[in-house]
Amino acid sequence: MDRNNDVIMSSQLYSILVTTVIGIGILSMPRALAENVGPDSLIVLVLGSVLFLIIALLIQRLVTKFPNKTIIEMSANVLFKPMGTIIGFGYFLHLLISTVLVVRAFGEITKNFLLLNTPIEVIIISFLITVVYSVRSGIESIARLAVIILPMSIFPALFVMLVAIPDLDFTYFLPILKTPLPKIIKTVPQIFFSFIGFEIILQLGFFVKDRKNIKKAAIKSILFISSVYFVFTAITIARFGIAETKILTWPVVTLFKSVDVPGTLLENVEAVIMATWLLSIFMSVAVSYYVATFLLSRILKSKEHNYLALFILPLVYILSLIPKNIVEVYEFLDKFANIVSITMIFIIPIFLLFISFLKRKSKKGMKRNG
Amino acid sequence: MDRIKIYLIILIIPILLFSGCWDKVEIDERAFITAIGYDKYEGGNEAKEENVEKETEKEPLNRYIRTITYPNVSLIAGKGQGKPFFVYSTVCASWADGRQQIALRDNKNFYVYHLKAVIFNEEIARDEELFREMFDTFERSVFLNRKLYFFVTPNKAQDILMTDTGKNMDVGLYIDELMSKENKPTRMAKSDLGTIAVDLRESNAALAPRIIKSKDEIKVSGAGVLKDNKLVGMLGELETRDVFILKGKVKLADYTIKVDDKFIVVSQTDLKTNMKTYEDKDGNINVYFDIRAEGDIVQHYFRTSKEPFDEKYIDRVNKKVNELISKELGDVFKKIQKDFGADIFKVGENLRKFHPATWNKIKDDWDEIYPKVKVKVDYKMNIRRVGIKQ
Repeated sequence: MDRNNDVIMSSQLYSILVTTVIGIGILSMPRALAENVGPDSLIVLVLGSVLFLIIALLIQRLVTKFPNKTIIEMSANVLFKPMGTIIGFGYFLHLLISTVLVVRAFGEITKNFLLLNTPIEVIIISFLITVVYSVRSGIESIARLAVIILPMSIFPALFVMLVAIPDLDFTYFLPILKTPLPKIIKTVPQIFFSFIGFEIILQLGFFVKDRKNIKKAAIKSILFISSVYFVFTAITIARFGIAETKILTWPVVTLFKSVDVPGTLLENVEAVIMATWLLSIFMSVAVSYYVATFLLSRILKSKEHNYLALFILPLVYILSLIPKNIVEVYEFLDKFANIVSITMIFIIPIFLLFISFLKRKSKKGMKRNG
Repeated sequence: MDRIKIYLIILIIPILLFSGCWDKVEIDERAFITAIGYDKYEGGNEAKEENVEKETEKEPLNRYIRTITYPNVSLIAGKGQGKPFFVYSTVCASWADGRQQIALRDNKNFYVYHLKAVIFNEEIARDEELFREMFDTFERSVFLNRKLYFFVTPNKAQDILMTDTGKNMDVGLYIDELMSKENKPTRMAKSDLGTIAVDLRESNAALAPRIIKSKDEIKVSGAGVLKDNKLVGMLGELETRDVFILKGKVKLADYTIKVDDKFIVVSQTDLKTNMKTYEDKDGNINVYFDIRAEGDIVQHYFRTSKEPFDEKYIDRVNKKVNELISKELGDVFKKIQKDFGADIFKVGENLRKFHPATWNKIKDDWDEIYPKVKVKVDYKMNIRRVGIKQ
C-alpha cells in the first residue's frame, strides 16, 4: 500500500482550510460574543475577521516566500538550526493539544445529543481510529475527503438556519457600539481563536502544486469561514436574544433543536444536522492530527509518517479523557486559546516574516556595499 | 492471506447488520408522552398511604402531583384496540422522581422527545421556588423541545389531562393541533417554552397561554402573566386579544361597536402596530402605540336604507371605532401596568435598544418607573369594505 502522492491543488487546500477551521468553535462562539460584547457581537465579529484576514495574508506571505519548506526548515533558515526543531515541536504540541480538546468536546456533544447510552470512551476511541485511518492514507486522500465533506457538512446547517428566518428579531443587535472600547479590544483575540486551524497552511503549503494560487485559496477560505460565522452568529442571537444566548452551552446546537422545519416527517431535525456537522469536526481533527504526525516525522527525520500516527493515538486518547467535566474542557480551551494559539497563529509567523525581511535587507545592503 | 480477509469480512458483516437489533425497542413498546401536568401536592391522608410504597426511612419530599398522558399509538395507526389514551398520576419530588415512579407502573418505555405541552396548575406557577425548579429542568434537558407549549391553568392539571376529547386522541396531541392550526384563534396567547424563556430573561415578564376546563371540554383561552419567575395574574380572552394587538402579533380581530343605538360588527384586518418609547421634557417615560388597520363591516341591520353606503356614516363609524378601541387598548395596557407591574410589552427592552442613554439612567429603578409610564394609543382604522350589499 504505497500511497506516495503528496501533492494537492490549491482548490483542495481551500476545502481543507475551511473544513479544518469550521468545527467545534462556532457551536459556542455566539455565547462568547454575547457574553462579552452583547449587541455589538456582529460588529466585533466583522472586525475580528478583517483583522484575521490581514494576519492570514501575512502567514500566506511566509508560506510563499519559502517554497518546499515546512515551518521547521523555515525557522531553521531564518533563525538558526536548533530553533527550527524547537518551533516545529511547539507546533506539534499545539496541534496535539487542540486535537485533544476538540476530540473531547466532540465526545461530549455526541454523548449529549446523539449517542446517549454509549460510553464516551467508546465514542472517542472509534472516532480516533477512523481519524488515524484517514491520516495514514496521506494528505491527498484527506484533501479529497475535504472536498466531499465541505458541502455535506455546511449546507444542511445553513439550510436549517434559513428555516429559522421568520422568527428572528434583529433589534437584539441594538444599541450599536455602546460597549466600552476595552471590552471590544479584549474580545477580538477570541475571534482569532475561532480561526484556529488556519495555521496548518504553514505546513500544508509544502504540498501545494500550484503555489501561486495559495494566496487566492487563503483569502477565499477566510472569506467563506467568516461569512459562515457571521450567518450563524446573526441568526442565533436574533433568535434567542443576548440574555438567552449567554446561558446556552452550545447556542447553535440549541438553535438546530428549536427550528421547526415545516412539513417534515422528522420532527427533531437536530439529530440529522448534528450528524452532518460531525463530519466537519472529523475533518478538523483529521487534518490537525495529520499535520501533527507529519511535523513529528520531520523532527525525527523519518521518511514515513504512517506509523507515527498510531503511536500518537493512545496519547491523544488518554489526554482527551483527563478533563473531569465539560466545564473544565471549556475553561482550558479558553486559556489555551488566549495564550498558546495567539503565539502560534500570530506571533511566530509574523516574527519569522519580520526577521526574514530584515535579513534580506541586510543582505542587499551588504551587496551594495561590497 | 485472502482467505483470512474473507473470514474477517464474514465475521464483521454480521456485527454491523445485527447489532442494531440487539437493543431494539419496537414502536408499539414505546410510550410517547405528549403532555405533562403539574399540580401542587398538599399532603392529604390518602396520598400518604400511597407513599408507603416508597419504603424509605426519610420523609419523602413530595411537592408535586405529576400527571402524564400518552396516546395509544397502535389505535391511531388503525390497528390496535382499547382506550385512545392513557393517563398516569403520581406524587413526586421532582421531574426525575416522577419519571422513575411512573416507570414502575406501566409496561411501556417512556419517551419525552415528542412532548407537546406542559401544564402548570396556578398554585405551582405562583410558587416561585417550584416554578424556577421546573423551568430549569425544561431548559437544561437535552430531550425536551423548546417548541413545546407551556400552559397555566386555574383548574387541576390532572383533570385537564384526563379529559376525553372524543376525537380518538389524547390531550397532548389535541392541544398541539389546536395551537398550530392554520386559522389561528386570536384570543389566546401563542407562545412556546423558548419564547417564554427569552422574554423572562430579556424583560422579566412573559405571557403563557392559559388552558381551562369546563365540564367535559378543554379550552385554550386567555393568558397567564409571568413576572419575576412566577405567575402574577391571568388575563381574559378579550384582554389577551388586545394585548396581542398592542404587541403587533394579531392580524385580525372583530369588535362589536354601538353606533346610533345599533350594534354593528366591524372586522379589523391587516393590523399593523408600531411602538415608540421616548422620554419627555419632565423626565417621564412615554409609550406611544401607532396602530393601523383596515375595517370591514360584517354586521349591520336588516332593511336599513343604504346607511353603510353613506360616506358620512362611514366616517362616523370610523371615528367611533377608533375612539373606542384606542381607549380599550389603553385600558388594557394600564391594567397590566398597574395590577401586575409586568413589562410584557417590552417597553424597557425598547428603551434599551433605541434609547440606551435613557435606559442606563433608569434601568436600576425600572420596576418602580414602569407603573408610572405614560401610555398613548392611537388606533387608526379606515373602513374599506362593507360586504356585498348596500
